[in-house]
Amino acid sequence: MALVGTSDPESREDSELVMSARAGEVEAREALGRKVSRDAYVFALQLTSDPDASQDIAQDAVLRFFRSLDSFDERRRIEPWLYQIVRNLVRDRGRRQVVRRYESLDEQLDSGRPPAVAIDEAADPAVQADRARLRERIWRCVDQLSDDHREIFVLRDHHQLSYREIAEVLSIPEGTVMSRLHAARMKLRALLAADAGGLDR
Amino acid sequence: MTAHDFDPTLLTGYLDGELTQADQQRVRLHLEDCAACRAELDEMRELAEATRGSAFTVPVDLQWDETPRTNWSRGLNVAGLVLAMLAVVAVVVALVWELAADDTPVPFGVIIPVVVVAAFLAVTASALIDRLRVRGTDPYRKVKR
Repeated sequence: MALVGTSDPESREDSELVMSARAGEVEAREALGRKVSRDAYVFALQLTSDPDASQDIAQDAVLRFFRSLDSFDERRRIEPWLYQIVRNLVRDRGRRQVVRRYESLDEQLDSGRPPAVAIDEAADPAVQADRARLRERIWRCVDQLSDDHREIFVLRDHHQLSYREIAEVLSIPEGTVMSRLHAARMKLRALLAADAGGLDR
Repeated sequence: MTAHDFDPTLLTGYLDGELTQADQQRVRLHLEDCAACRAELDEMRELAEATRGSAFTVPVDLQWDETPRTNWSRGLNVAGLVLAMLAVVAVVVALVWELAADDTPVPFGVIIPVVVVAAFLAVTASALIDRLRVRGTDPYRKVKR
């Protein structure tokens, strides 16, 4: 398993990769395929919390990505484009199974697979553990959000997309982004508060 | 929150740096004398930071295939398999026929080899299409699975 955080060590600029890939450079296509499949998988996992479905969706998304590679404007960022593909695939799958994240976490732990949510490097193990717990709680609560709220929260607070990019991914007016995002954050905050009370953490 | 000529959704835009200068100024002024909104903003910021810092494990055997089977390849493959099944059925029927009425020849005896050959050709063509298609991008096959 490879850890993928917010930054990717594969350092070539995306626009450069897109252009080289389009020119048929095999290495660039490979690097792009790797990057895109990982990003697609992570976003799909965040939306569905189902690792198997996310693999399928990622595969499908990469396919569509490469199919539309020629028509893509390489001056734009890859992410909004890719996330729009993934999001539509997730939506097309219809109502996702209601699997609560902590259940799927337990399942993954039972089967010896590493959990979906990992921590980043903090020096102090105690701080590390605290953060890990907070993240686990956050993602568990994200799972309970409505589809609309989950999408917009993940796109902004994990993937750092701008409002314009979010509007593009979700096909909504840019003016709607702020109010929907605010509602999502408020909802999540309430869920976290309830979670803390309910689970005595 | 206090005096409610203030729209709290602005806090979200403020946190994300997505407000106009005028709105930014408005939020700043409001925050100065609203402890509740300051607390709300801090909480949203903490949430955003923790979420941003989350990393996810990705299976290393994640596969992708930028050039899936074409419709022709898929169609020929299915056609080949259907023809092969028809051939099997035809052979079975022919055998039963042979046992039941030994003097009349099987009426469709001739077409059995034709069907078998057609099935074989269809499946071979399908495989050939796949081979030719991936020839250019075959290095993908080396990618760790």
